[in-house]
Amino acid sequence: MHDAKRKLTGAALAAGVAVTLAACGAGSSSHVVGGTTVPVTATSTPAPTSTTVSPGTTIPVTAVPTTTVTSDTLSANTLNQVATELGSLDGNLSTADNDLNNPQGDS
Amino acid sequence: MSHTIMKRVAAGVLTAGAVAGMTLAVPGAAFAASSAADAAGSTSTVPPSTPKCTPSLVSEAQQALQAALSGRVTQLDALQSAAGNTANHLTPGDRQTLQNDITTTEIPGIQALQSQVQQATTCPQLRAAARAMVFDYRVYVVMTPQTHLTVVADDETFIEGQFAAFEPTIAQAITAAQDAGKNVTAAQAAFTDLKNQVATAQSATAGQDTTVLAQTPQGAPGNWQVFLAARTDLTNARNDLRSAYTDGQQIRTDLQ
Repeated sequence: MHDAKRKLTGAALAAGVAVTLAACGAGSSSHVVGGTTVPVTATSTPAPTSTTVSPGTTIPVTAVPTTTVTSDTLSANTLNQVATELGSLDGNLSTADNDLNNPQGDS
Repeated sequence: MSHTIMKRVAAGVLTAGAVAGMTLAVPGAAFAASSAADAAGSTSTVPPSTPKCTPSLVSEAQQALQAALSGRVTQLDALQSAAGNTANHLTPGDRQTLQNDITTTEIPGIQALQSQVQQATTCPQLRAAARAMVFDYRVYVVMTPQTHLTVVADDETFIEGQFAAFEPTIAQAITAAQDAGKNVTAAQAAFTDLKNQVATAQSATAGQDTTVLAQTPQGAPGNWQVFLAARTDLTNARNDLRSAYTDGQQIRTDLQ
């Protein structure tokens, strides 16, 4: 009776260790377990992507914006806005010119 | 150029004198004509007025004056819209100054004259209203250029700020292109010119809004020269900003 109880405890412990080892080794050598995410930062990826490490395990990759200023940036960020403002300015200056060149009502 | 314009203004005020003088024989209108002629350095003689506001013509004179006042209300409404237009870049202070002048002084004053003229029954009453319309409010030769020139000055200041804020980005772009092995000699030269153009524009624009806003109806016709000088500076600044924009386009092309 006592021996039987001891054998059962040993078997249960062995089974538990086996299950744990199996879980750790399933599909990956890392210690990542299902449902846990690990943030990774990359410096050269232009757009956010994701990398699957193991089934059910997703690692988000955060891209750092490039610091290189290109000619496209010059165009999109300000030159077009300046062009719009200059167009508006021309209209207002033309109005002021007209006030001074052809004053209405004379007084 | 300015002499021609002043002659034109003088002629315009003479016309005002003709309207008020011939119709109403307003002493003030005759004074306006001679003042403008003096300011223009003209030696031409002021044509004699032909008084028409006789007791039998009060009604006609009254109608002419009402039309003149109504035209000024319309003009002031347009100026009020311009001052309140948030599409332009008037500074909050300048916008408030213009709106206050237009809505609390000019429009109520002209509207009061409209009531006064409506109730007038004699030539002296009409003359007094006509004189006030011209000398107290100066809707066309002070308020109008003042409003529009202030808008231009503040618009230019805004654009200068855009360029100034953009300059570090341009410098980075040129450096990045240079680091990548690109020949940036032309881009660098254009950038230098851009900065010079913006600085020149800033000098031409500085203080223009304050100067223009300081002009009052009582300063006419002498302040016409102030408006002309402001127009010259603001036109030069506009040309500088156009050149700076061309430089920006050149830089963009060179770096592509």
